[in-house]
Amino acid sequence: MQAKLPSDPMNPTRWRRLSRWLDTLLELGAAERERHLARLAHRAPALADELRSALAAQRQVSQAHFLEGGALCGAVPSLRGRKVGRCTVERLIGSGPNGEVWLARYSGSTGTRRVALKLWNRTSSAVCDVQRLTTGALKLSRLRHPNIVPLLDGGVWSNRPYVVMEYMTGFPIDTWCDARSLSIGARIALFMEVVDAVEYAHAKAVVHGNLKPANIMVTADGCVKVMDLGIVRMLEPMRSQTCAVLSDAARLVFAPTYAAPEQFQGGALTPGADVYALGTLLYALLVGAHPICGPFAAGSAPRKASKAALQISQDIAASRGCTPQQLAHELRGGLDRIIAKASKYRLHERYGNVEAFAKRLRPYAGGAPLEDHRGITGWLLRRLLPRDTTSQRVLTVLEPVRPTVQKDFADGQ
Amino acid sequence: MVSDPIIQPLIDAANGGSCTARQRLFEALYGELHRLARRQLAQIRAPMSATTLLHETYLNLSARSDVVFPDRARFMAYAARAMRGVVIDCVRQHYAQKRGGNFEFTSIDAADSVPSWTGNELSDISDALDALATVEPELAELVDLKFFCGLSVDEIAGIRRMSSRTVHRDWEKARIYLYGAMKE
Repeated sequence: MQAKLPSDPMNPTRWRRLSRWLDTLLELGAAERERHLARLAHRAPALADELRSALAAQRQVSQAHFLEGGALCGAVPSLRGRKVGRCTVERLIGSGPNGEVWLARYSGSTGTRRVALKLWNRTSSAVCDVQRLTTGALKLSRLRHPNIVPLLDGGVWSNRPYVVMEYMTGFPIDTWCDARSLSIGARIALFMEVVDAVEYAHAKAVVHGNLKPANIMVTADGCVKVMDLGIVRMLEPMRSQTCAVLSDAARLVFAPTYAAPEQFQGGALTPGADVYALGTLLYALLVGAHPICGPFAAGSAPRKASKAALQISQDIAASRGCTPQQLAHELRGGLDRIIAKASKYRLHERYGNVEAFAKRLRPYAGGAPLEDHRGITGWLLRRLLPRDTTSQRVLTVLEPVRPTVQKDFADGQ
Repeated sequence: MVSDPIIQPLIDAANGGSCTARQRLFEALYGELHRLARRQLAQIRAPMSATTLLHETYLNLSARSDVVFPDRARFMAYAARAMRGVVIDCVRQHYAQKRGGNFEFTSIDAADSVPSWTGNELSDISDALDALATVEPELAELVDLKFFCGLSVDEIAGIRRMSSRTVHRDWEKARIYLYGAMKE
Protein backbone atom coordinates (compact mmCIF):
# COMPACT_ATOMS: atom_id res chain seq x y z
CA MET A 1 0.00 0.00 0.00
CA GLN A 2 1.27 3.42 -0.88
CA ALA A 3 1.19 5.60 2.18
CA LYS A 4 0.04 9.11 1.63
CA LEU A 5 0.51 11.44 4.49
CA PRO A 6 -1.36 14.69 4.82
CA SER A 7 0.02 17.33 2.50
CA ASP A 8 1.53 19.20 5.41
CA PRO A 9 2.44 16.81 8.17
CA MET A 10 4.56 19.54 9.73
CA ASN A 11 1.51 21.63 10.50
CA PRO A 12 1.76 21.66 14.30
CA THR A 13 -1.96 21.81 15.05
CA ARG A 14 -2.71 18.95 12.70
CA TRP A 15 0.15 16.83 13.99
CA ARG A 16 -0.84 17.33 17.62
CA ARG A 17 -4.33 16.06 16.85
CA LEU A 18 -2.99 13.08 14.89
CA SER A 19 -0.52 12.36 17.66
CA ARG A 20 -3.23 12.13 20.33
CA TRP A 21 -5.27 9.75 18.20
CA LEU A 22 -2.24 7.65 17.36
CA ASP A 23 -1.61 7.15 21.08
CA THR A 24 -4.94 5.37 21.25
CA LEU A 25 -4.88 3.58 17.90
CA LEU A 26 -1.33 2.21 18.12
CA GLU A 27 -2.29 0.39 21.31
CA LEU A 28 -5.12 -1.48 19.61
CA GLY A 29 -5.23 -4.65 17.58
CA ALA A 30 -6.13 -4.46 13.87
CA ALA A 31 -9.84 -5.25 14.27
CA GLU A 32 -10.36 -2.91 17.20
CA ARG A 33 -8.46 -0.17 15.39
CA GLU A 34 -10.68 -0.54 12.34
CA ARG A 35 -13.82 -0.26 14.50
CA HIS A 36 -12.48 2.96 16.03
CA LEU A 37 -11.67 4.43 12.64
CA ALA A 38 -15.04 3.43 11.17
CA ARG A 39 -16.84 5.19 14.04
CA LEU A 40 -14.62 8.24 13.63
CA ALA A 41 -15.19 8.33 9.87
CA HIS A 42 -18.88 9.11 10.48
CA ARG A 43 -18.26 12.36 12.28
CA ALA A 44 -14.79 13.35 11.03
CA PRO A 45 -14.02 11.67 7.69
CA ALA A 46 -10.99 13.83 6.92
CA LEU A 47 -9.35 13.03 10.24
CA ALA A 48 -10.08 9.32 9.81
CA ASP A 49 -8.40 9.44 6.39
CA GLU A 50 -5.36 11.15 7.79
CA LEU A 51 -5.10 8.58 10.52
CA ARG A 52 -5.40 5.74 8.02
CA SER A 53 -2.55 7.28 6.01
CA ALA A 54 -0.45 7.66 9.13
CA LEU A 55 -1.07 4.04 10.09
CA ALA A 56 -0.21 2.90 6.57
CA ALA A 57 3.01 4.91 6.87
CA GLN A 58 3.67 3.20 10.16
CA ARG A 59 3.41 -0.21 8.48
CA GLN A 60 5.84 0.86 5.77
CA VAL A 61 8.22 2.39 8.27
CA SER A 62 8.14 -0.79 10.29
CA GLN A 63 8.65 -3.10 7.31
CA ALA A 64 11.54 -1.02 6.05
CA HIS A 65 13.12 -0.93 9.54
CA PHE A 66 13.23 2.83 9.03
CA LEU A 67 15.85 4.41 11.37
CA GLU A 68 15.95 1.13 13.27
CA GLY A 69 19.66 0.54 12.97
CA GLY A 70 20.91 3.87 14.27
CA ALA A 71 22.80 6.68 12.55
CA LEU A 72 26.05 4.76 12.56
CA CYS A 73 24.49 1.50 11.54
CA GLY A 74 25.46 -0.60 8.61
CA ALA A 75 28.88 -0.07 9.89
CA VAL A 76 29.64 -3.07 12.03
CA PRO A 77 32.85 -4.24 10.39
CA SER A 78 32.45 -7.77 9.12
CA LEU A 79 34.49 -10.33 11.00
CA ARG A 80 33.44 -13.13 8.69
CA GLY A 81 36.14 -15.75 8.50
CA ARG A 82 38.21 -14.11 11.25
CA LYS A 83 39.68 -16.16 14.07
CA VAL A 84 38.66 -15.05 17.56
CA GLY A 85 40.31 -17.35 20.05
CA ARG A 86 39.21 -20.83 19.04
CA CYS A 87 36.26 -19.47 17.06
CA THR A 88 35.91 -18.91 13.35
CA VAL A 89 33.32 -16.18 12.81
CA GLU A 90 30.43 -16.92 10.43
CA ARG A 91 27.88 -14.14 10.59
CA LEU A 92 26.45 -11.33 12.69
CA ILE A 93 23.49 -12.32 14.84
CA GLY A 94 22.86 -9.01 16.52
CA SER A 95 24.48 -5.83 17.66
CA GLY A 96 23.86 -3.25 20.32
CA PRO A 97 25.54 -0.27 21.90
CA ASN A 98 27.92 -2.45 23.88
CA GLY A 99 29.07 -4.81 21.19
CA GLU A 100 28.01 -7.59 18.90
CA VAL A 101 27.00 -11.23 18.93
CA TRP A 102 28.34 -13.41 16.13
CA LEU A 103 27.52 -16.90 15.05
CA ALA A 104 30.77 -18.86 14.94
CA ARG A 105 32.32 -22.32 14.76
CA TYR A 106 34.20 -23.34 17.83
CA SER A 107 36.96 -25.94 17.72
CA GLY A 108 37.02 -27.57 21.12
CA SER A 109 38.54 -30.75 22.41
CA THR A 110 35.39 -32.65 21.47
CA GLY A 111 35.19 -31.40 17.89
CA THR A 112 33.64 -28.42 16.16
CA ARG A 113 30.33 -26.88 17.17
CA ARG A 114 28.21 -23.82 16.47
CA VAL A 115 28.47 -21.17 19.10
CA ALA A 116 27.40 -17.62 19.87
CA LEU A 117 30.39 -15.34 20.24
CA LYS A 118 29.69 -12.26 22.31
CA LEU A 119 32.18 -9.51 21.67
CA TRP A 120 32.23 -6.27 23.69
CA ASN A 121 33.30 -2.94 22.28
CA ARG A 122 36.58 -1.50 23.27
CA THR A 123 35.80 0.96 26.00
CA SER A 124 38.06 3.40 27.72
CA SER A 125 37.19 2.21 31.20
CA ALA A 126 37.74 -1.45 30.49
CA VAL A 127 41.32 -2.48 30.67
CA CYS A 128 41.40 -5.99 29.39
CA ASP A 129 42.91 -8.34 31.91
CA VAL A 130 43.36 -11.48 29.86
CA GLN A 131 44.29 -13.65 32.81
CA ARG A 132 41.23 -12.65 34.80
CA LEU A 133 38.83 -13.11 31.90
CA THR A 134 40.18 -16.50 30.99
CA THR A 135 40.06 -17.82 34.55
CA GLY A 136 36.65 -16.23 35.08
CA ALA A 137 35.33 -17.96 31.98
CA LEU A 138 36.86 -21.24 33.10
CA LYS A 139 35.05 -21.01 36.44
CA LEU A 140 31.75 -20.19 34.74
CA SER A 141 32.18 -22.98 32.20
CA ARG A 142 32.01 -25.46 35.09
CA LEU A 143 28.38 -24.55 35.78
CA ARG A 144 26.18 -27.38 34.57
CA HIS A 145 22.45 -26.98 34.85
CA PRO A 146 19.62 -27.72 32.41
CA ASN A 147 18.42 -24.12 32.68
CA ILE A 148 21.76 -22.42 32.20
CA VAL A 149 23.27 -21.68 28.79
CA PRO A 150 26.72 -23.25 28.98
CA LEU A 151 29.66 -20.89 28.68
CA LEU A 152 32.52 -22.47 26.77
CA ASP A 153 35.33 -20.00 26.70
CA GLY A 154 36.31 -16.39 27.18
CA GLY A 155 39.22 -14.07 26.63
CA VAL A 156 40.37 -10.92 24.93
CA TRP A 157 40.62 -10.37 21.21
CA SER A 158 41.97 -7.20 19.68
CA ASN A 159 41.46 -5.36 22.99
CA ARG A 160 37.87 -6.53 23.14
CA PRO A 161 36.63 -8.92 25.84
CA TYR A 162 34.62 -11.87 24.54
CA VAL A 163 32.80 -14.95 25.76
CA VAL A 164 31.77 -18.02 23.82
CA MET A 165 28.53 -19.79 24.64
CA GLU A 166 26.41 -22.53 23.23
CA TYR A 167 24.30 -21.30 20.33
CA MET A 168 20.56 -21.64 20.74
CA THR A 169 17.48 -19.83 19.57
CA GLY A 170 14.48 -18.84 21.59
CA PHE A 171 12.33 -16.00 22.79
CA PRO A 172 12.76 -13.75 25.81
CA ILE A 173 10.65 -15.13 28.64
CA ASP A 174 8.20 -12.20 28.67
CA THR A 175 7.52 -12.43 24.93
CA TRP A 176 7.10 -16.18 25.25
CA CYS A 177 4.55 -15.90 28.07
CA ASP A 178 2.54 -13.19 26.33
CA ALA A 179 2.54 -14.99 22.97
CA ARG A 180 0.91 -18.00 24.59
CA SER A 181 -1.32 -16.06 26.97
CA LEU A 182 0.04 -18.09 29.86
CA SER A 183 -1.94 -17.90 33.08
CA ILE A 184 -0.40 -16.59 36.29
CA GLY A 185 0.16 -20.13 37.54
CA ALA A 186 1.85 -21.23 34.33
CA ARG A 187 4.05 -18.12 34.35
CA ILE A 188 5.17 -18.85 37.87
CA ALA A 189 5.83 -22.49 36.95
CA LEU A 190 8.09 -21.32 34.13
CA PHE A 191 9.67 -18.72 36.38
CA MET A 192 10.55 -21.43 38.92
CA GLU A 193 13.00 -22.81 36.34
CA VAL A 194 14.78 -19.45 36.38
CA VAL A 195 14.80 -19.52 40.17
CA ASP A 196 16.25 -23.05 40.10
CA ALA A 197 19.07 -21.98 37.82
CA VAL A 198 19.92 -18.96 39.98
CA GLU A 199 19.74 -21.04 43.17
CA TYR A 200 22.15 -23.54 41.64
CA ALA A 201 24.56 -20.79 40.60
CA HIS A 202 24.50 -19.25 44.08
CA ALA A 203 25.39 -22.64 45.54
CA LYS A 204 28.43 -22.51 43.25
CA ALA A 205 29.24 -18.97 44.47
CA VAL A 206 28.23 -17.31 41.21
CA VAL A 207 25.94 -14.25 41.27
CA HIS A 208 24.17 -13.43 38.03
CA GLY A 209 24.07 -9.64 38.49
CA ASN A 210 22.17 -8.89 35.29
CA LEU A 211 18.91 -10.83 35.28
CA LYS A 212 16.40 -9.41 32.81
CA PRO A 213 13.99 -10.81 30.22
CA ALA A 214 16.54 -10.47 27.41
CA ASN A 215 18.88 -12.75 29.36
CA ILE A 216 16.26 -15.41 29.96
CA MET A 217 15.29 -17.31 26.86
CA VAL A 218 12.68 -19.98 26.35
CA THR A 219 13.63 -22.43 23.60
CA ALA A 220 11.22 -23.90 21.08
CA ASP A 221 10.66 -26.95 23.29
CA GLY A 222 9.67 -24.77 26.23
CA CYS A 223 12.90 -25.00 28.20
CA VAL A 224 14.12 -21.97 30.14
CA LYS A 225 17.74 -20.98 29.50
CA VAL A 226 19.44 -18.35 31.64
CA MET A 227 22.33 -16.54 29.96
CA ASP A 228 25.15 -14.31 31.06
CA LEU A 229 25.52 -15.78 34.52
CA GLY A 230 28.39 -14.17 36.36
CA ILE A 231 29.44 -12.06 33.38
CA VAL A 232 28.91 -8.80 35.26
CA ARG A 233 31.38 -9.75 37.94
CA MET A 234 33.82 -11.16 35.42
CA LEU A 235 33.97 -7.86 33.54
CA GLU A 236 33.84 -5.66 36.62
CA PRO A 237 37.43 -6.18 37.85
CA MET A 238 38.66 -5.01 34.48
CA ARG A 239 37.85 -1.49 35.55
CA SER A 240 40.34 0.40 37.59
CA GLN A 241 39.43 1.57 41.08
CA THR A 242 38.33 5.06 40.03
CA CYS A 243 36.49 3.71 37.06
CA ALA A 244 34.61 1.32 39.30
CA VAL A 245 33.20 4.24 41.24
CA LEU A 246 32.42 6.13 38.07
CA SER A 247 30.84 3.14 36.44
CA ASP A 248 28.42 2.90 39.32
CA ALA A 249 27.46 6.50 38.77
CA ALA A 250 27.14 5.66 35.12
CA ARG A 251 24.64 2.95 35.84
CA LEU A 252 22.30 5.64 37.04
CA VAL A 253 22.12 6.69 33.46
CA PHE A 254 22.33 3.43 31.64
CA ALA A 255 20.75 1.32 34.30
CA PRO A 256 19.76 -2.20 33.56
CA THR A 257 16.28 -1.77 34.94
CA TYR A 258 16.23 -4.97 36.95
CA ALA A 259 19.43 -4.27 38.85
CA ALA A 260 19.24 -3.81 42.62
CA PRO A 261 19.67 -0.34 44.15
CA GLU A 262 22.96 -1.30 45.81
CA GLN A 263 24.37 -2.08 42.37
CA PHE A 264 24.03 1.61 41.53
CA GLN A 265 25.51 2.70 44.80
CA GLY A 266 28.85 1.00 44.57
CA GLY A 267 27.83 -1.74 46.99
CA ALA A 268 29.13 -5.27 46.66
CA LEU A 269 27.32 -7.58 44.28
CA THR A 270 25.70 -10.21 46.51
CA PRO A 271 23.09 -12.94 45.97
CA GLY A 272 20.62 -10.40 47.38
CA ALA A 273 20.91 -8.44 44.13
CA ASP A 274 19.64 -11.49 42.24
CA VAL A 275 16.76 -11.84 44.72
CA TYR A 276 15.83 -8.25 43.91
CA ALA A 277 16.07 -8.85 40.16
CA LEU A 278 13.97 -12.01 40.43
CA GLY A 279 11.32 -10.07 42.36
CA THR A 280 11.08 -7.26 39.80
CA LEU A 281 11.22 -9.73 36.95
CA LEU A 282 8.34 -11.74 38.39
CA TYR A 283 6.42 -8.51 38.85
CA ALA A 284 6.94 -7.66 35.19
CA LEU A 285 5.93 -11.16 34.07
CA LEU A 286 2.75 -11.15 36.12
CA VAL A 287 1.60 -7.54 35.86
CA GLY A 288 2.96 -6.79 32.40
CA ALA A 289 4.71 -3.61 33.46
CA HIS A 290 8.01 -2.83 34.96
CA PRO A 291 8.02 -1.46 38.50
CA ILE A 292 10.05 1.43 37.15
CA CYS A 293 9.85 3.49 40.26
CA GLY A 294 12.05 0.90 41.98
CA PRO A 295 15.70 1.32 41.22
CA PHE A 296 15.37 4.77 39.69
CA ALA A 297 13.71 6.79 42.36
CA ALA A 298 16.64 7.14 44.71
CA GLY A 299 15.59 6.56 48.28
CA SER A 300 12.04 5.60 47.45
CA ALA A 301 10.59 2.17 47.94
CA PRO A 302 9.38 0.20 44.93
CA ARG A 303 5.75 0.57 44.05
CA LYS A 304 3.55 -1.91 45.89
CA ALA A 305 2.37 -4.74 43.69
CA SER A 306 -1.11 -4.56 45.21
CA LYS A 307 -1.49 -0.93 44.19
CA ALA A 308 -0.25 -1.60 40.71
CA ALA A 309 -2.65 -4.49 40.37
CA LEU A 310 -5.49 -2.00 40.46
CA GLN A 311 -4.20 -0.38 37.29
CA ILE A 312 -4.06 -3.52 35.18
CA SER A 313 -5.40 -2.98 31.70
CA GLN A 314 -7.84 -5.19 29.87
CA ASP A 315 -5.11 -6.19 27.40
CA ILE A 316 -2.67 -7.31 30.05
CA ALA A 317 -5.31 -9.36 31.83
CA ALA A 318 -6.55 -10.91 28.58
CA SER A 319 -3.04 -12.08 27.72
CA ARG A 320 -3.13 -13.94 31.04
CA GLY A 321 -6.50 -15.48 30.27
CA CYS A 322 -8.52 -13.45 32.80
CA THR A 323 -10.11 -10.10 33.59
CA PRO A 324 -8.28 -7.28 35.41
CA GLN A 325 -10.38 -8.02 38.52
CA GLN A 326 -9.46 -11.71 38.47
CA LEU A 327 -5.80 -10.88 37.90
CA ALA A 328 -5.77 -8.37 40.76
CA HIS A 329 -7.50 -10.93 42.94
CA GLU A 330 -4.89 -13.57 42.12
CA LEU A 331 -2.07 -11.19 42.94
CA ARG A 332 -3.50 -9.88 46.18
CA GLY A 333 -3.00 -11.40 49.56
CA GLY A 334 0.12 -13.45 48.93
CA LEU A 335 1.90 -13.06 45.64
CA ASP A 336 2.08 -9.28 45.97
CA ARG A 337 3.67 -9.61 49.40
CA ILE A 338 6.24 -12.14 48.15
CA ILE A 339 7.18 -9.86 45.27
CA ALA A 340 7.31 -6.81 47.53
CA LYS A 341 9.61 -8.59 49.98
CA ALA A 342 11.92 -9.86 47.24
CA SER A 343 12.22 -6.41 45.70
CA LYS A 344 12.70 -4.40 48.89
CA TYR A 345 14.87 -1.36 48.41
CA ARG A 346 17.11 -2.32 51.34
CA LEU A 347 19.11 -5.49 50.95
CA HIS A 348 18.55 -6.71 54.51
CA GLU A 349 14.78 -6.46 54.19
CA ARG A 350 14.66 -8.90 51.26
CA TYR A 351 14.56 -12.68 51.45
CA GLY A 352 17.92 -13.83 52.81
CA ASN A 353 18.49 -16.09 49.83
CA VAL A 354 16.86 -17.37 46.66
CA GLU A 355 15.91 -20.59 48.41
CA ALA A 356 13.66 -18.76 50.87
CA PHE A 357 12.03 -16.83 48.02
CA ALA A 358 11.53 -20.06 46.05
CA LYS A 359 9.94 -21.77 49.02
CA ARG A 360 7.30 -19.06 49.41
CA LEU A 361 6.64 -18.86 45.69
CA ARG A 362 6.43 -22.54 44.81
CA PRO A 363 2.83 -23.08 46.04
CA TYR A 364 1.63 -20.55 43.45
CA ALA A 365 3.13 -22.41 40.49
CA GLY A 366 0.63 -24.33 38.46
CA GLY A 367 -1.78 -23.75 35.63
CA ALA A 368 -1.68 -25.54 32.33
CA PRO A 369 1.27 -27.92 32.20
CA LEU A 370 3.76 -26.72 29.67
CA GLU A 371 3.96 -30.09 27.97
CA ASP A 372 0.48 -29.44 26.55
CA HIS A 373 1.86 -26.69 24.42
CA ARG A 374 4.96 -28.36 23.14
CA GLY A 375 4.73 -29.32 19.52
CA ILE A 376 2.38 -26.52 18.61
CA THR A 377 4.85 -23.96 19.79
CA GLY A 378 6.18 -23.08 16.37
CA TRP A 379 2.70 -22.74 15.02
CA LEU A 380 1.62 -20.56 17.90
CA LEU A 381 4.58 -18.29 17.68
CA ARG A 382 4.23 -17.93 13.94
CA ARG A 383 0.61 -16.97 14.41
CA LEU A 384 1.16 -14.61 17.26
CA LEU A 385 4.43 -13.05 16.29
CA PRO A 386 4.18 -12.50 12.56
CA ARG A 387 7.19 -10.21 12.54
CA ASP A 388 9.46 -13.04 13.52
CA THR A 389 8.26 -15.66 11.08
CA THR A 390 11.38 -15.93 9.00
CA SER A 391 13.91 -15.90 11.73
CA GLN A 392 13.19 -16.53 15.34
CA ARG A 393 14.69 -13.87 17.49
CA VAL A 394 18.07 -15.26 18.17
CA LEU A 395 19.57 -15.61 21.54
CA THR A 396 21.53 -12.44 21.97
CA VAL A 397 22.64 -10.74 25.05
CA LEU A 398 23.66 -7.20 24.28
CA GLU A 399 20.29 -5.44 24.28
CA PRO A 400 19.82 -6.97 20.88
CA VAL A 401 18.54 -4.93 18.04
CA ARG A 402 17.16 -6.61 15.00
CA PRO A 403 19.96 -6.97 12.48
CA THR A 404 19.01 -4.65 9.68
CA VAL A 405 18.94 -5.29 5.99
CA GLN A 406 22.08 -3.23 5.62
CA LYS A 407 23.91 -5.23 8.22
CA ASP A 408 22.90 -8.50 6.67
CA PHE A 409 24.02 -7.16 3.35
CA ALA A 410 27.31 -5.92 4.73
CA ASP A 411 27.75 -9.30 6.22
CA GLY A 412 27.26 -11.04 2.90
CA GLN A 413 23.83 -12.48 3.72
CA MET B 1 39.62 17.98 35.22
CA VAL B 2 38.89 21.12 33.23
CA SER B 3 36.47 23.37 35.03
CA ASP B 4 33.83 24.92 32.89
CA PRO B 5 31.79 27.25 35.07
CA ILE B 6 29.81 28.33 32.05
CA ILE B 7 27.74 25.16 31.92
CA GLN B 8 25.82 25.47 35.19
CA PRO B 9 24.27 28.89 34.54
CA LEU B 10 23.45 27.73 31.03
CA ILE B 11 21.54 24.76 32.35
CA ASP B 12 19.63 26.99 34.75
CA ALA B 13 18.80 29.46 32.02
CA ALA B 14 17.88 26.71 29.55
CA ASN B 15 15.58 25.19 32.12
CA GLY B 16 14.07 28.61 32.61
CA GLY B 17 13.09 28.58 28.97
CA SER B 18 15.78 30.77 27.45
CA CYS B 19 16.41 29.86 23.80
CA THR B 20 19.82 31.50 23.66
CA ALA B 21 20.93 29.67 26.76
CA ARG B 22 19.70 26.39 25.32
CA GLN B 23 21.63 27.01 22.13
CA ARG B 24 24.78 27.87 24.07
CA LEU B 25 24.33 24.83 26.30
CA PHE B 26 24.19 22.62 23.22
CA GLU B 27 27.37 24.23 21.98
CA ALA B 28 29.10 23.70 25.32
CA LEU B 29 28.04 20.05 25.43
CA TYR B 30 28.99 19.62 21.81
CA GLY B 31 32.47 20.94 22.63
CA GLU B 32 32.67 18.61 25.59
CA LEU B 33 31.73 15.58 23.49
CA HIS B 34 34.33 16.49 20.89
CA ARG B 35 37.01 17.10 23.49
CA LEU B 36 36.39 13.75 25.15
CA ALA B 37 36.38 11.90 21.87
CA ARG B 38 39.71 13.44 20.89
CA ARG B 39 41.24 12.76 24.28
CA GLN B 40 40.05 9.20 23.99
CA LEU B 41 41.72 8.80 20.63
CA ALA B 42 44.95 10.28 21.99
CA GLN B 43 44.98 7.99 25.00
CA ILE B 44 44.13 4.58 23.69
CA ARG B 45 44.20 5.21 19.96
CA ALA B 46 40.90 3.47 19.54
CA PRO B 47 37.54 4.80 18.47
CA MET B 48 34.61 4.72 20.86
CA SER B 49 30.89 4.07 20.59
CA ALA B 50 28.40 6.93 20.65
CA THR B 51 26.82 5.47 23.77
CA THR B 52 30.14 5.31 25.60
CA LEU B 53 30.92 8.86 24.62
CA LEU B 54 27.61 10.13 25.95
CA HIS B 55 28.11 8.10 29.06
CA GLU B 56 31.58 9.51 29.71
CA THR B 57 30.43 13.04 29.10
CA TYR B 58 27.82 12.61 31.79
CA LEU B 59 30.40 11.24 34.21
CA ASN B 60 32.83 13.97 33.43
CA LEU B 61 30.35 16.76 33.91
CA SER B 62 28.66 15.28 36.96
CA ALA B 63 32.05 14.81 38.62
CA ARG B 64 32.53 18.57 38.56
CA SER B 65 31.26 20.22 41.67
CA ASP B 66 30.04 23.23 39.76
CA VAL B 67 27.74 21.31 37.47
CA VAL B 68 24.45 20.04 38.83
CA PHE B 69 21.89 18.63 36.48
CA PRO B 70 18.29 18.90 37.59
CA ASP B 71 17.79 15.29 36.57
CA ARG B 72 19.35 12.66 34.33
CA ALA B 73 16.53 12.77 31.83
CA ARG B 74 17.13 16.48 31.27
CA PHE B 75 20.85 16.00 30.87
CA MET B 76 20.34 13.16 28.43
CA ALA B 77 17.99 15.25 26.34
CA TYR B 78 20.48 18.12 26.07
CA ALA B 79 23.51 15.95 25.51
CA ALA B 80 21.76 13.72 23.00
CA ARG B 81 20.87 16.75 20.91
CA ALA B 82 24.53 17.78 20.95
CA MET B 83 25.53 14.22 20.14
CA ARG B 84 23.43 14.38 16.99
CA GLY B 85 25.77 17.08 15.68
CA VAL B 86 28.86 15.12 16.65
CA VAL B 87 27.61 11.99 14.86
CA ILE B 88 26.79 13.93 11.70
CA ASP B 89 30.24 15.54 11.76
CA CYS B 90 31.85 12.19 12.17
CA VAL B 91 29.99 10.65 9.25
CA ARG B 92 30.85 13.64 7.05
CA GLN B 93 34.45 13.39 8.07
CA HIS B 94 34.44 9.67 7.29
CA TYR B 95 33.24 10.34 3.77
CA ALA B 96 35.68 13.19 3.34
CA GLN B 97 38.50 10.81 4.24
CA LYS B 98 39.97 13.43 6.51
CA ARG B 99 41.09 11.00 9.12
CA GLY B 100 43.59 11.23 11.88
CA GLY B 101 42.92 14.84 12.86
CA ASN B 102 39.78 14.15 14.75
CA PHE B 103 38.18 10.92 15.89
CA GLU B 104 36.04 8.01 14.77
CA PHE B 105 33.26 5.95 16.26
CA THR B 106 33.78 2.28 16.90
CA SER B 107 31.25 1.29 14.33
CA ILE B 108 32.88 3.13 11.46
CA ASP B 109 36.54 2.70 12.16
CA ALA B 110 37.18 -0.22 9.88
CA ALA B 111 38.33 0.56 6.41
CA ASP B 112 35.86 -1.86 4.85
CA SER B 113 32.77 -0.47 6.53
CA VAL B 114 30.48 2.15 5.04
CA PRO B 115 27.88 3.95 7.15
CA SER B 116 24.41 3.42 5.73
CA TRP B 117 23.56 7.10 6.00
CA THR B 118 25.40 9.93 4.30
CA GLY B 119 26.06 13.23 6.04
CA ASN B 120 23.42 14.93 3.87
CA GLU B 121 20.75 12.38 4.69
CA LEU B 122 21.52 12.75 8.36
CA SER B 123 21.30 16.54 8.01
CA ASP B 124 17.84 16.15 6.48
CA ILE B 125 16.78 13.97 9.40
CA SER B 126 18.25 16.54 11.74
CA ASP B 127 16.24 19.37 10.13
CA ALA B 128 13.05 17.34 10.35
CA LEU B 129 13.85 16.61 13.99
CA ASP B 130 14.28 20.29 14.76
CA ALA B 131 10.82 20.88 13.30
CA LEU B 132 9.41 17.98 15.31
CA ALA B 133 11.04 19.42 18.43
CA THR B 134 8.87 22.53 18.13
CA VAL B 135 5.71 20.41 18.14
CA GLU B 136 6.52 17.41 20.35
CA PRO B 137 9.98 17.86 21.84
CA GLU B 138 9.92 14.52 23.66
CA LEU B 139 9.54 12.67 20.36
CA ALA B 140 12.56 14.46 18.91
CA GLU B 141 14.60 13.71 22.02
CA LEU B 142 13.67 10.08 21.74
CA VAL B 143 15.05 9.94 18.19
CA ASP B 144 18.26 11.61 19.39
CA LEU B 145 18.69 9.05 22.14
CA LYS B 146 17.78 6.02 20.08
CA PHE B 147 18.89 6.79 16.55
CA PHE B 148 21.87 9.07 17.17
CA CYS B 149 23.12 7.80 20.51
CA GLY B 150 22.30 4.12 20.16
CA LEU B 151 20.33 3.67 23.38
CA SER B 152 17.80 0.86 23.52
CA VAL B 153 14.09 1.33 24.14
CA ASP B 154 14.49 -0.21 27.61
CA GLU B 155 17.32 2.15 28.52
CA ILE B 156 15.30 5.14 27.41
CA ALA B 157 12.29 3.85 29.34
CA GLY B 158 14.53 3.68 32.41
CA ILE B 159 15.82 7.20 31.99
CA ARG B 160 12.37 8.62 31.41
CA ARG B 161 10.69 6.44 34.01
CA MET B 162 8.12 5.28 31.50
CA SER B 163 7.11 1.84 30.38
CA SER B 164 8.97 0.41 27.39
CA ARG B 165 5.62 0.14 25.72
CA THR B 166 5.06 3.88 25.87
CA VAL B 167 8.56 4.56 24.57
CA HIS B 168 7.95 2.12 21.75
CA ARG B 169 4.70 3.84 20.83
CA ASP B 170 6.41 7.25 20.84
CA TRP B 171 9.14 5.79 18.61
CA GLU B 172 6.51 4.68 16.11
CA LYS B 173 4.94 8.14 16.14
CA ALA B 174 8.29 9.85 15.66
CA ARG B 175 9.05 7.57 12.73
CA ILE B 176 5.68 8.31 11.14
CA TYR B 177 6.40 12.03 11.45
CA LEU B 178 9.93 11.79 10.05
CA TYR B 179 8.88 9.49 7.25
CA GLY B 180 6.25 12.01 6.17
CA ALA B 181 8.64 14.93 6.54
CA MET B 182 11.46 13.24 4.63
CA LYS B 183 9.19 12.32 1.74
CA GLU B 184 8.36 15.93 1.07
